[in-house]
Amino acid sequence: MANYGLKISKPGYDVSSASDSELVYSSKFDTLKVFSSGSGSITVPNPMAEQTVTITHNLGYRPAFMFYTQIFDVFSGSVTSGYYMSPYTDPVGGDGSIMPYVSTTTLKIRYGAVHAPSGSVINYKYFIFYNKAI
Amino acid sequence: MANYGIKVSKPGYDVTSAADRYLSLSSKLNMFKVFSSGTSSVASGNTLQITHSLGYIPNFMVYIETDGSTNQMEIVSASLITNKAQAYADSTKLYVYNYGSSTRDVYYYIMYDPI
Amino acid sequence: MSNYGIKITKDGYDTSSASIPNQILNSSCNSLKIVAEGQTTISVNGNNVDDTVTISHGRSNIPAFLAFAQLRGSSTVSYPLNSYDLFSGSGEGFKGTANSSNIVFTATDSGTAYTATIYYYIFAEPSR
Repeated sequence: MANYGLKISKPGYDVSSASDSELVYSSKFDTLKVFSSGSGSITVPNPMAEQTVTITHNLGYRPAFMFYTQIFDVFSGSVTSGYYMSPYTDPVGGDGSIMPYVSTTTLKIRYGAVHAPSGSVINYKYFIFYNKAI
Repeated sequence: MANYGIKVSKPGYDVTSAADRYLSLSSKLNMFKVFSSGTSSVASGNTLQITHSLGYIPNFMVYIETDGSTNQMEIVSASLITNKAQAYADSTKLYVYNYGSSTRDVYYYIMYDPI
Repeated sequence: MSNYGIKITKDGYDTSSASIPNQILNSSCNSLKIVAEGQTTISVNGNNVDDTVTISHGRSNIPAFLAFAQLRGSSTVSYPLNSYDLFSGSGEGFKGTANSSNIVFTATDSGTAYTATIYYYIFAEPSR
């Protein structure tokens, strides 16, 4: 049976003999395809309370995703400039987690009530893929 | 208006009718492009710093050896409870903090794609 | 020396000048290639001992992977790796580890039996 497709090898590798890991791309393999991406922020209220960010995708199925967020660094006493891949859980305890979850219509991220002091502005960024999560 | 591009469907799907989710490649859909990847290690209580100098905060994936294990890897999120590690990136570096009790191997991917 | 390859830009960008972040594909840049994906379940039996499922990956390396899980608290949402369902369930969590033969997913057991449903991706690229 004929074997049709498209493959591209990494620089320096012969495409006719390259192994899977020596390819940049092969039509034999799926990739993570970005459906949507974006950014936003939350401001921690006073008094502190949990907050839920809702991002609508309406794909009709649960998609794979990646969610990155700043966190409050208790050692420096400030919001980080760097972004962390979520989820965030803190061994100190209390409702300080940052937990994303996805349904067939939305990506939601729950920021726990005590993840950062009131007034903190936490920026986040997300990728929602066409690839499914269930 | 003409619609130009390239698309490749997944095996078993007709490229002329496949929905986007059944394509492995489409010039309409971004996919992550690896800028750099590699292996390193980070001692207990230390932070591994990997310079990327992209000038923006890139997408990344980091795997770390399970604390106390050898040759067993897990993806790192900001989850000190499960990973005993955290990974984060800014516009110049990728950082991996080891909260565990042992020196742990790390494998990282830094993408061209910005967060 | 000649410079051969293929590159595809995002909509609206000129291929002759677009930077890599504005490209879909560039043959000088690796992409994350999914070599296997699938759905599995973990039967959490409610005895307060974490339960696991093992997926044989058949790769010659320890592969990179991603996964998402439906936990006890809701049958309509999925969580990423390293999550703890802290608000609708009783703190069930989900993690995954890979070695040279298998990927092992673990669901925490908080004393109530349930079935965790997992969807996973295994990449050609290594995690070690």
